[in-house]
Amino acid sequence: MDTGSFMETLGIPEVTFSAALTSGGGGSAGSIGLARAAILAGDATCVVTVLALQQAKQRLGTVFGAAPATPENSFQQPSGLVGPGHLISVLTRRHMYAYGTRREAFAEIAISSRQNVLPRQTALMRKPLTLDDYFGAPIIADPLCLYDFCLETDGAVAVVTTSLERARDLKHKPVRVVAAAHGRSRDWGRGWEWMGMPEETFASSGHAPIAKHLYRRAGVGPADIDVALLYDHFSPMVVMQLEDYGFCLKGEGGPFVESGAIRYKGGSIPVNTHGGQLSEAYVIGMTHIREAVEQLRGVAVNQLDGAELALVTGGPAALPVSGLIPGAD
Amino acid sequence: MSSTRAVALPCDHVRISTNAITEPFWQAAKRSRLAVPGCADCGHFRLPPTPFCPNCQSENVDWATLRGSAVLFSFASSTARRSLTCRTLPTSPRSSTCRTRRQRGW
Repeated sequence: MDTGSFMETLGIPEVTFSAALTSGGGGSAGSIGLARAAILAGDATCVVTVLALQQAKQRLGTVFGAAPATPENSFQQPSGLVGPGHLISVLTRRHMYAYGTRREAFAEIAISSRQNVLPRQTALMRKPLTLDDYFGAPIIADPLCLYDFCLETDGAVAVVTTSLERARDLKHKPVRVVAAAHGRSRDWGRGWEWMGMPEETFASSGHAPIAKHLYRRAGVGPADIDVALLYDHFSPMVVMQLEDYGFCLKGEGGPFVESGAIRYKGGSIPVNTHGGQLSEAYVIGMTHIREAVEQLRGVAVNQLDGAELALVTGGPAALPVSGLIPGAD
Repeated sequence: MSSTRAVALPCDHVRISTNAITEPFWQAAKRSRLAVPGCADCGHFRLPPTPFCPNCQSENVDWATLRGSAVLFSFASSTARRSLTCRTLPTSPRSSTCRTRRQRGW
């Protein structure tokens, strides 16, 4: 839905700022940076960032396979790599080959996300997931199986951003935008559609430059982050983001995850405490922002004691990938 | 080294679209040759073919014919129905069986 349709449908008398980050999930977290920019510049006093997803016409999971043939996609489409997850499976296999990453790490991401979602009444997946369930699941694009792929849902989330001064007068406890960043490096190219990446970038989430800008702008490092809400369209990208955001060294994401480090209970960096897109719902990254807000207000379903800083990421996709560090006020 | 020729690509079963920039690749493929665009100025190879060299932005292209031997960098095995072999098959018990077996990890 574009801004014009929103105005007409909701009877909004005037819009003074309108912008969008492209790349679907890649821009989700960073879109709050647009809202902040408009408010700081005085272009707007209040910005509503909306993402609504309806997949009645075409499910995103096979979107590339369903597209009409073009001169460019003809180099990819006949291969059977019909969706983002199929392409990411190629990056994943290289990560497994280069660093010894095991499917057990991807299983841990799926299982810990499912564990986190169990108390959430509104979640789509409410049954615990076992290691046997995981390894017994159909393979979709080897090495990735059913539980490595996120859900495909219809849904919507809206985020309201205004000045901190004004937010402090409102009913709900505000959450600060500490830093936001979007973009990508040239090496990452067209993201997972790009076979021209250097090796280290190929087996990555493409988020290393975003991590650098985000931490510098916020004046913090990975050790200061209390909860990581990482875009989990496909489980291996959680491993690779943990590396790119410095929670572990490059190549050590697999053993790091397998050690239990990302669990809500007992983990050193709890990841996707809301269940993420793998288990709660897939609203293209926006539920991760909502969970950050709830954690920093102290009202999350799986509340972390004294959470002050969260990391929210968007993508990994083509241009841009993005990240956001919100903080408690 | 074993030498196995791909029989499925390119063939009439694969629906593709071309333009002046990509056409030489497919014309060569029809003749069982692997041709790729290299930048005539800096030598950088690119695929898919694009109008400008991503390394130096030159428009000059030398089409090089490669031997076709390579080191495998990575791969995926997709069970998607709209893949090469299944696309031309009608929906029949036989193709369903094929899918089921593949989903079990064949």
